Amino acid sequence: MRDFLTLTGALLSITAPLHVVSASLLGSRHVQQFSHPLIVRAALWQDDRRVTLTVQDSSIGFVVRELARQARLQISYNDGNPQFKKRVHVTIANQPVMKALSAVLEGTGLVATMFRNEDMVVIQSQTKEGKRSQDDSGTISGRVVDSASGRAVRRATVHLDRSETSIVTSDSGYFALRDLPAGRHVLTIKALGYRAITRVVVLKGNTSVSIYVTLSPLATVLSGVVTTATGVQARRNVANDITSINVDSVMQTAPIHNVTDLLDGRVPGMTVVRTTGTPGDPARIRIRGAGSVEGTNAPIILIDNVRVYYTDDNTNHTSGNGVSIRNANTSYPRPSALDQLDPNMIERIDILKGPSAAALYGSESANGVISIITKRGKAGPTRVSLDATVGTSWIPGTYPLFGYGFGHFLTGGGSPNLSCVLDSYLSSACALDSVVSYQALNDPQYSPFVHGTNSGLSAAASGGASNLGYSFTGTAQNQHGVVRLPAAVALAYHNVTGQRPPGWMINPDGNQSMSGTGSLTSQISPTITVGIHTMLSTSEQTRSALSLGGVSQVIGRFVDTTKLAFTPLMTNFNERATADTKTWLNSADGTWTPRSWVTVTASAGINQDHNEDKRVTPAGIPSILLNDPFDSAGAYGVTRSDNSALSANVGTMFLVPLPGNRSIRLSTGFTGNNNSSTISNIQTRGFPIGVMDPSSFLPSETNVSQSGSSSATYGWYIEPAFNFGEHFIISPGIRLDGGSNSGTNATVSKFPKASIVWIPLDDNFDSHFLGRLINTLKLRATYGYAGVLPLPGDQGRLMGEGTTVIDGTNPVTSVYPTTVGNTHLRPERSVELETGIDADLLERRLTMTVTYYHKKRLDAILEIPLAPSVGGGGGTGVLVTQSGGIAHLGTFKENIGTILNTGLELSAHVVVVQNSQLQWDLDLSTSQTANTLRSFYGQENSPGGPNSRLVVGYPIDGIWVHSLAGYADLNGDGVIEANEAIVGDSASYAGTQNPTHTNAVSSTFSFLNGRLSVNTLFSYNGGMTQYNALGLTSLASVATQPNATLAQQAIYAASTKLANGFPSETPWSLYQRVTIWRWNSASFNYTLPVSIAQLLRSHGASIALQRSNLWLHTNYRGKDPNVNIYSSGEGVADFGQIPEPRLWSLSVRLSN
Amino acid sequence: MHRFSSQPVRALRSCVARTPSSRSRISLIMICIAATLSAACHDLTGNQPLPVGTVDPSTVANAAGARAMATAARAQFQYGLNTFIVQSGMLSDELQANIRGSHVTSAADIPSDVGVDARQLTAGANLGTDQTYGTLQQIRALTNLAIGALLQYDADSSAANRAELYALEGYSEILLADLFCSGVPLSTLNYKGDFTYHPSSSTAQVYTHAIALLDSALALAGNDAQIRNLAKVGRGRAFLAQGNYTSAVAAVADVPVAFRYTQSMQTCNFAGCFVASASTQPVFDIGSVASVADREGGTGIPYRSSGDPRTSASFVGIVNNNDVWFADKYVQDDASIIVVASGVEAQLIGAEAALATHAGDWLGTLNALRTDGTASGGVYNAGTGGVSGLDPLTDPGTDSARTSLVFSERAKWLFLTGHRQGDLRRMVRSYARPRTTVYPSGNYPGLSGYGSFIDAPIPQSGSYSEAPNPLFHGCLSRD
Repeated sequence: MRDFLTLTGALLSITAPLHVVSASLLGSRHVQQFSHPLIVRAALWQDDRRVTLTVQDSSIGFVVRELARQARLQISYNDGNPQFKKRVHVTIANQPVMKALSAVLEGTGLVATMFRNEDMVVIQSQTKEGKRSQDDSGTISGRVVDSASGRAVRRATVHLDRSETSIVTSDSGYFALRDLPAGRHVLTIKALGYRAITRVVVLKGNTSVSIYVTLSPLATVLSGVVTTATGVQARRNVANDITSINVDSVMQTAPIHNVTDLLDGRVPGMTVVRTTGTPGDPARIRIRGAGSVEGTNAPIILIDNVRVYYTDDNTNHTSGNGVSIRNANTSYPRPSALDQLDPNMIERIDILKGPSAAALYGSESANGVISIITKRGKAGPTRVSLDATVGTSWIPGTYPLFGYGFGHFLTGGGSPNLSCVLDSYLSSACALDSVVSYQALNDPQYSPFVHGTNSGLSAAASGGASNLGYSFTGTAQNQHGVVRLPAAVALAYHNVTGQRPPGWMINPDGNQSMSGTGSLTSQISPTITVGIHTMLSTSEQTRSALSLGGVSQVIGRFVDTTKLAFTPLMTNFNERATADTKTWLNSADGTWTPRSWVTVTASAGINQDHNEDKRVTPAGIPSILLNDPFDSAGAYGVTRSDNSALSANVGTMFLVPLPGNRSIRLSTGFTGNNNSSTISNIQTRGFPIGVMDPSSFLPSETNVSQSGSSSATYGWYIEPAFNFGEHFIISPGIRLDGGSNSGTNATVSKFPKASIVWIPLDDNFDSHFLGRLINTLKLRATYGYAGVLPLPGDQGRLMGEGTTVIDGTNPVTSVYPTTVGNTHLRPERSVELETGIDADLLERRLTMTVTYYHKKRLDAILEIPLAPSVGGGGGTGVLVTQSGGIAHLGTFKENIGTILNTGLELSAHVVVVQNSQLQWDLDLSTSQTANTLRSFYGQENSPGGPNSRLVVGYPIDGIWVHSLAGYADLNGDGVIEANEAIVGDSASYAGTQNPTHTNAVSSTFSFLNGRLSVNTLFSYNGGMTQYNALGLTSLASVATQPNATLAQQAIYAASTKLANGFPSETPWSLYQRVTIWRWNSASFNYTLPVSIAQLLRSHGASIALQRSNLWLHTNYRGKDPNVNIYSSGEGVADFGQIPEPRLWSLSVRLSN
Repeated sequence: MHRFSSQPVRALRSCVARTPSSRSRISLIMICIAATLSAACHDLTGNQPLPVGTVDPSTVANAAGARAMATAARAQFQYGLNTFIVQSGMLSDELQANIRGSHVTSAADIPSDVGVDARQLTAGANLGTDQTYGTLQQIRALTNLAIGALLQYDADSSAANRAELYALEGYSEILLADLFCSGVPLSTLNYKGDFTYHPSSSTAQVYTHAIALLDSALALAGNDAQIRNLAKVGRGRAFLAQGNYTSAVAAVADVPVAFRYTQSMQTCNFAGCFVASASTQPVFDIGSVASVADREGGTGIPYRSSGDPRTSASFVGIVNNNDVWFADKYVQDDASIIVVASGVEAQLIGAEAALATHAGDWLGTLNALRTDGTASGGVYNAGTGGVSGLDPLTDPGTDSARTSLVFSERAKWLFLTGHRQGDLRRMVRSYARPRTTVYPSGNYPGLSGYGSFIDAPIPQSGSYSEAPNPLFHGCLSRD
């Protein structure tokens, strides 16, 4: 492709291989323009971009390229035309670019034409025009669209019969070739970033043939762009493995309901763990494992370089200040801020995985950066798309059966149907008649699980004029969960209250969300482009207490229908829980190019996030139905949190060309971020019957608390990139950071980086290895630092205030330290070496990226006890305040640990089959990671949940449990009691809580020229150890039966004993190493014929039948190992959680 | 919610106004907005509500805040003294643990109070003295903090206040040296929150450091006689502990007999009230944790049976099958006071020094205390200046017996004021008396017998562990 070159004028855009328009026939009589004139002659185009150039004895080709570069024009021409090799002398001083081009091309037989609104100039031969015979009588027309998104592909070239005749498609993807002779014609369609495709059309006389062409995006390791801290860069220049997700492509082929769905299984090295299967509940995202014990392990989220508030502290703060009003104190996962984003607004998601990639993002980016690039309007007619989805969901599979022994009393009349457990059996209180298996959750009469529904509607419109682009999206979704109050419980409620349960009690789970986005971009002058963007989303989630406790209450309890009124299957079903979330993001950005070699970019934005979690147990419910009889007077709790994230970024990029196709790209800039959060909590009890929002009632039993935190970071970066002929790129850089969360005595944090890219093989260079075996080869290595901020308050001393009596009579105010803080505390620093190979193989049928990383978390912040000699020690410092508070300096945060994460990642795209009938594409994603605590001083108790310990040489989220060493029935009663189970003296390592290897395979079959596609996604995760609390009940059901063996009893006894010296129960048998095979999704997509689409008043229409969570195979003995009960830490368990539901959906998409 | 101040708005207006041409002005607007928002960030870092019960340190970085910190330090001293009295009383012969006897089920599971009472103070064991250690050390931390804050924010008018805090810190170190093994680290915490770990100090060094603190108190006390006398008695106590009798006498020479510095015990919520009720069980009330002992271990003072009004006790009930006797000197309505230092103690220091140096009328001094003065409300608090009805003492004839008599008088005058443990340990250290003749020995109910320790280990595990101090490596000695 060396003969064809395209120079891009936008400095932040990328020079990339372009399928170039041939110089022939453009604007000839063979071209039919469908929308509006595309081409304007230079003389007619009043472009005021001026150029200045003086060269001696240079080729016309060089002059043309230089003029285009100065004017930031894309220019296409046939480099093989000998006219371009002519040597000329040129002196141009501040002339309009088209005038300059005309002058240069004068006498060559070439003419320059400009695409209006496109900033693209095509240079073609004048002599080709008007030579086609008028005998041609046929017409071939058609439309070219993206196979993934169905969107029109504009500016694709359609070559006719391997000649120089070609045409480009309009903005709507249409083309037409007129006056063609009858017979067989071969059309080759090419477009930038797509795989070329050939179609054979037979014209019979004076006929017209319409064809529909789908182009598959061309995945190459060097193509495309990615977003980094310094701006948009060509992927080929970047030394890191940055995974990009083309959202339209994914959404076209997979069931996507939120951003989490987009990420799950598509990023090697990223794990996505769902908290529950309840609609609207969040997921925990980890990139390349966890590296922080005290700080966050969550990546930062940027939308168009603007920070958004994001935390994976999934617990709302309903517990307040230790306030305990039952049922108003239930804790639920808070909705994820990430899922408040409408996927339809997103163009692309770039995932920067480690500190070496995120170095220039500074002290908050060591856990990776998720950079979201939104859609922007482009010049052209308004494009509208409309999507509608309906679906249903349900809990797949069945729950494990439990055993129940039944017998009859041996004394007192021999009552039958006694629950004959081991104790009563051995004490001869009952005789065993039978052992039955039962599971209420599997019993339709009692199970709370039903089919849920979901529906959604989204619309998008984008377009623009020459200097104004716009894009608007709107989405509404409505989900009803899979939980319904069992009929038996509803009947029991009716029997007690005389009334039917209210609707919210019968259908507790659901999620309604709406979002809208708007974006305006304008080129207000030839050198300035500005944009303003806004996004507003709201969601209203309703949840049932069943999500936490109900299932556990059901399991292991045989349903005695006579007791349903008193011990209902669902506990807390009388509590209505809602979570309202509103997110508003406003941002503005701009680009200023005062000179061709310098570009200034700036962006600023604010993200406001408001959450309101309410729990209401309405007054008047009979106490017999309540866990806490006092709730009969009504219980109410609300937690309101307001979070705000502000961002401001200013960056400058200098591009300095050097002789010999060398250049220096120097980027420098400033970024500042501020995150703040306030949380208020109100809990009260006692309000009138019928009131569901008692916020205005504040009776005596009211607790109000408020807390907040804020943090700010600001930093400066500089990154020069030395580019040696596009083959070899060296790029050092550094960021200097300050911030409010660092100690006052901490020095400025430094995050240096350095990277090397070497591209020995590239199609652009006409280099091939072993024939066509290796088409492209890129070797890369990068080394860099990034940080994780201390939590607000870690670095600063906090004081407590109270009153005490010193002189015997008068209470006086006392002030005392509650946290000592660490004025020397600084951000954790991660240093990472990442190396990798990117290659296009086998005629680009196989594209693969292999990456190894070695990431060490230095200065890891760990919480260590303070010695009493400096005022530390738990429980000391007791001071009486009026509220009875106790102050002490218990612990202290310090940068003392070293944590190592290493891993290997592989992603590959394989075109398994490609012919006119079928295309089969495979996308593979696999990663292995290992986490080790390398050094640690001090002691840390259960940093990541129960039985979690920090032990040097083991993962930071390691599980340590006491194992069962033996048992002996010492008293010979046939029952192994707690003291007869021998538990090991010391805890032994049971595994890590996060998966050590994750794998995903996405397969796409395309039939009927791409009209029909079938996509499936499989995943395999393994290596994690999970706590199966569900198994405890299962274990109990076995060990307490009369036929239980001593060994079974011993396991149960060891799992429940509270032995002296053991901090808690010894759930050794409930931890298991887990592997998960999951068929995540299947999607059938069909693009309707144009004629049908036109009946629907659209240019394109498609339907999709999609199914998610189709199949699960795991050795986990619980229900679903991919949901997480723990609100903090890394632990995973499904106890009492709604598992991931299975989902069917049908969607229709229309577009013009 | 954030509230933007007007400052960023003005900054934006100014930024744009300074830009020369309209075209350039437009092009720079974006940069100005970004810079202004960045400036606004600084305004947004403040004014955030803090966790409930906490205050922004900046709001107490003033004179009032410093005085409130001093209040906290004094309150902590009250609490620390309380726990010290209970734990040191059990280690010595003043108190017995109520949980002794049949409730001690095995040698491997000794309740924390029994471990102290039975002198089985093995390092690493869960001991009641652990919390006392943490509390006394935190007195040091809080007094340091308050002294620094007062000096920073209220230097001109806080001299007496700082003097008192220096004195209390000195006393806390005396108590640490009295009860714990040699090797107490005297780390520091300053008013800014920075701290410095220090290595172990020997018992003698701790006393010396306490004397230095009391010197500072004296220097700052000015004309405040109460604080000056508090510092003087403390110096005398510390010199006495070091066996420096001459300095001890000199230190307390002009302390009037009527002087006393007390701490109030106002409320059981303070977790340290001295109540007798067996059913009311604050954390450290003597009635539920310990009982007044009588001839404990064969060597103890017959506090109850002697009939001495200074140590009288009343039977108040049964806890854990053990009789509970409550000291009459502490009334049962939470309104008791504890005498920290007194003119009586100064006289006792003088008497002991006179006996040890053969340089004064030690017996006359003791008898003067027994015949001069009145009771206070019928309760014989040490340091009230005298108790009527006590017969004069007679000279037992030998130095050893005389010494025992002096210590017996100290035990009775200073009963349950936190002095006895220091006295017993001093008898071993300065008078070379065998441990078994000084501390309770022999059989212990529920255990095989008393242990051999006469001091408490510095905790190296549990909530009050000193282990996080990297310069600390355990007790230097257990003598």
